[in-house]
Amino acid sequence: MEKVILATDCGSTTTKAILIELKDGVYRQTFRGESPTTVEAPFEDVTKGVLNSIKELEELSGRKILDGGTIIKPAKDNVGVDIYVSTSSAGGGLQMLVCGVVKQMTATSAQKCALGAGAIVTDVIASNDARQPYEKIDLIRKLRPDMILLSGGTDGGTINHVVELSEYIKAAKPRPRFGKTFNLPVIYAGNKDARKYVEDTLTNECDLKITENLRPKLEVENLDPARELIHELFLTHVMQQAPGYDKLLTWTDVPIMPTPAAVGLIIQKIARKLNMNVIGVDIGGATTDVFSVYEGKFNRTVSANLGMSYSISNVMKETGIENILKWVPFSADEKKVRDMVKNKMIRPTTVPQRVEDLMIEHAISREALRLAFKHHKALTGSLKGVHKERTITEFTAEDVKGEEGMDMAKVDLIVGSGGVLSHAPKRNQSAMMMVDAYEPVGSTYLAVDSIFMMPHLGVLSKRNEKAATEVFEKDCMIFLGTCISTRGRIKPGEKAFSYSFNWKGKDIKKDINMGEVHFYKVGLEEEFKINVEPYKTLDFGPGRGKPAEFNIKGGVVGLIIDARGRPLYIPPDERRIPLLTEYFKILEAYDK
Amino acid sequence: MAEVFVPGLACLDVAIISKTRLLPIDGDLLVKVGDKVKFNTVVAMSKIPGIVHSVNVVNALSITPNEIERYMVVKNGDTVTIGQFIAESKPLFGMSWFKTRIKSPVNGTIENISSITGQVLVREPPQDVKLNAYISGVIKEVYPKSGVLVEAQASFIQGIFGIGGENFGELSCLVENPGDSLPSGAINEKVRGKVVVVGKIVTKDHIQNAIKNGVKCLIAGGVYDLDIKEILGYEIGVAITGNENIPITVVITEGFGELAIAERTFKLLKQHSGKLCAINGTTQIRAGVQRPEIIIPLESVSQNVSAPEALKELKVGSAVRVIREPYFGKIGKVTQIIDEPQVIETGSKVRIIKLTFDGTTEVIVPRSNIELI
Repeated sequence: MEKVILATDCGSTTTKAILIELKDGVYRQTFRGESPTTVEAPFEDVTKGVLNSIKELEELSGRKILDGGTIIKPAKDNVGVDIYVSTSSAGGGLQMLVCGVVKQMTATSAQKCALGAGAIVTDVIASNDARQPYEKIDLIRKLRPDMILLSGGTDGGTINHVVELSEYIKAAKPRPRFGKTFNLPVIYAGNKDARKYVEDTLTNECDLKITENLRPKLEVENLDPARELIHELFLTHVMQQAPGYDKLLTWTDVPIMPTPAAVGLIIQKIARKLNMNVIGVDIGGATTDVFSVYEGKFNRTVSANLGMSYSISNVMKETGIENILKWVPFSADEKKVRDMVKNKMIRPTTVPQRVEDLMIEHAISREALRLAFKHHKALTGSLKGVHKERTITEFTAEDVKGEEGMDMAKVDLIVGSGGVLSHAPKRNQSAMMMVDAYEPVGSTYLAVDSIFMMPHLGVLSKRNEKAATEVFEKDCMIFLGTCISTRGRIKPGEKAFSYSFNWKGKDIKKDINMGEVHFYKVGLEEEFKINVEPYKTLDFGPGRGKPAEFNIKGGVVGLIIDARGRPLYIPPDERRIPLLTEYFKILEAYDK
Repeated sequence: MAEVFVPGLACLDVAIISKTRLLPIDGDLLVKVGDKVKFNTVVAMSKIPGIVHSVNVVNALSITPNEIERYMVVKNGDTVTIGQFIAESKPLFGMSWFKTRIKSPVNGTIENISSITGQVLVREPPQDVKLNAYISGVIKEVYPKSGVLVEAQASFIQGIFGIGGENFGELSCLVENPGDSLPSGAINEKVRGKVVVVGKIVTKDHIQNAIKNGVKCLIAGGVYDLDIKEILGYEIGVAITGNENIPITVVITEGFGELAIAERTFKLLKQHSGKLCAINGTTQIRAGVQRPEIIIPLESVSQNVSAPEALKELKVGSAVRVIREPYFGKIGKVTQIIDEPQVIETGSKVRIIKLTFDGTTEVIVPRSNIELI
């Protein structure tokens, strides 16, 4: 039986190592070490960060695990481990180059497809753009994209131009950012008549994948097959790859799993065990992964360029600085916040030392979580394999829209993971970030991954189910409490709803006004019913103005009764700071 | 104890720098192994297919695409000259004065006559693409038809962030100290064509003035993000730069905001003032990182080549620079390393060090917020 287990997760910013030990017949997570991920020069070897995080474990646990650069196996007394498992997302975000024949037609569709898959489009090359062929070839080479999406031509139309674009790609001999043995993925989603020629041109140069034409007719856009392929290739091909990845592969006892795949396994286990609709999130440095198990269906999306370090500036770009500043409870100088965000981007492993800086990072995380969830809803709403016919006018719309098929009132549990949520100095801060970003409706339980170990447990479950389950239940998932909230808005200060419950032998019955938040420190293991009666048009789920009864579970934070309405509105004027200050004070979020 | 990993920005007095230079498409090499080259020596050249122009023949003649072949007076592959008729209408009774005639917009070759879209594509004659050496040095290897490897002994400095691509010029240091700032008027006609060191901050005014005066590159400790946004006209999301549409390269050595250039970097820049250097602002901050660079080839060969910086161990007494507020940019000496995670002002429990900036007062800094110098 495996008594000592070592597990690591190589994130884009930080490598996290945990030690799991069998004690009195039960597996428990005992120690944790972390170190910056070493994908940058002069190290450019992910295993160096792994070794350093293990060294931290050695220092903290007193167990000798390494013999030079080798993991000692099996464990004997206070030396070595029995197995080593790892996940990885060290490859970071997804940057794509998009090629299409006509800039305003196929190239635009291809761009929408890549954006919809969560990629950053570093450039759009079209046969009819003003650049000369050599400039295009040079650009393909210099941009070092993670993936190229090549499209062009309607089915049955001309093939010359799309084949010409494939020749440019061939001439550029594009090299991936890392991994000498790794061929750059090129997705061909153009005129089906040109497939053979594109195959002849690119098969030996790239990892060519062919899928359905994303613009089979002028008036038909079919983005989903290419979008799903991008997503799949990102998970299996790009995300795990990083300098030194090949070496790490030889160290582990089970194949390295992409971090989102491992977290997805755990979220599905939670949903099955609790029989609930669950939303899970893992917010990292480069990407934010969202998972949902809703009405029995599991979905996973990776927002490849929303994150808290490498991608932090992209969050600011996507949402706008005003949307970040609206969550900051003091008057912040926009110029300084901008510089702070960019400095985090260029030095991704630093941590906030002042409370003000922490508050700004938490403000940004609210927006990253919100945008990634929006992306998840849009993608999972549209991933039905249905070809969409749109008018030419609709094609000019820039945004990627999907059907938002998730009713927040039916979501029972939100689970947060990733550095900013798992390592927030106070759990109350994590609860607030999740409530503000997801805007739950009705009664929603909140939980976090205690010290960020869901990825480790996900991959471990493939090898030792018992260890993964025991550690998950005892050490990983921390219940924060319950949030009660209503859909809709009425005038601030007007009576929003009344609620009543019996807690610790006392009957509590109160009214709450629009814009207010009430907070009760209902502890772990405490459970009771709450009755709510909304006024006017407000809705807890059963319908406008209809009363409801919910089951409350306590946690390390407690019960949050949120009458700020949905959608949430933070006034951009002088009311903002006192409002946020009051809200943070009620929830005892920050000590300062 | 565990080692400390920080982004390894190189600042080397003497290093062997190799640059692979490749043509976008196969062509001819103009140099051989052992040849000495300068920054702007053309080392290889190729001819690339000319620009394609499309002519909407069916619209102009009011015909349908499937009729196009009947109206063309040239065929695929024909050479045409600017103004030459390529298609014409067929009036009743063949009366030529009623004919509508379509001219070629350029000299070139008929590339495609599409009976689906009704477009005719005319391609201009091939054009020359020249590849320069980028750095002054010696050709070490040649890759038939595709490019060369140039090698030089040089001083080498990596920046932390940059915009704009490859450039070269004479290095000119306009400030006395690394923490000085420059009045915007100091960038004038005198520094045309040069690579200019401007001190702790490069502002929007500096950049605009530099562009006006033909400066090739600006080097500074810091820059305001808002200025970058205003200069580029858009916000940088992920740090992938180098292809900006600006006629200048900007290299930042420390970060965003007002930040003195690191002493060692400044010393090297000042020491080489007046010499030619190659510079590239291209930055890609992600796994497989690329940082901007300043390469100053050395005229005489030195035996003291600096090795790439090895992993350093953090020790009591180590000199470190803080890389995050509240002490961002300050240089101090480590007085104590504490292994057990400690609670800091934010409430976070992190590994910390104690350090002193002035030799007397001690401050606490998270270990991840410093870099060894």
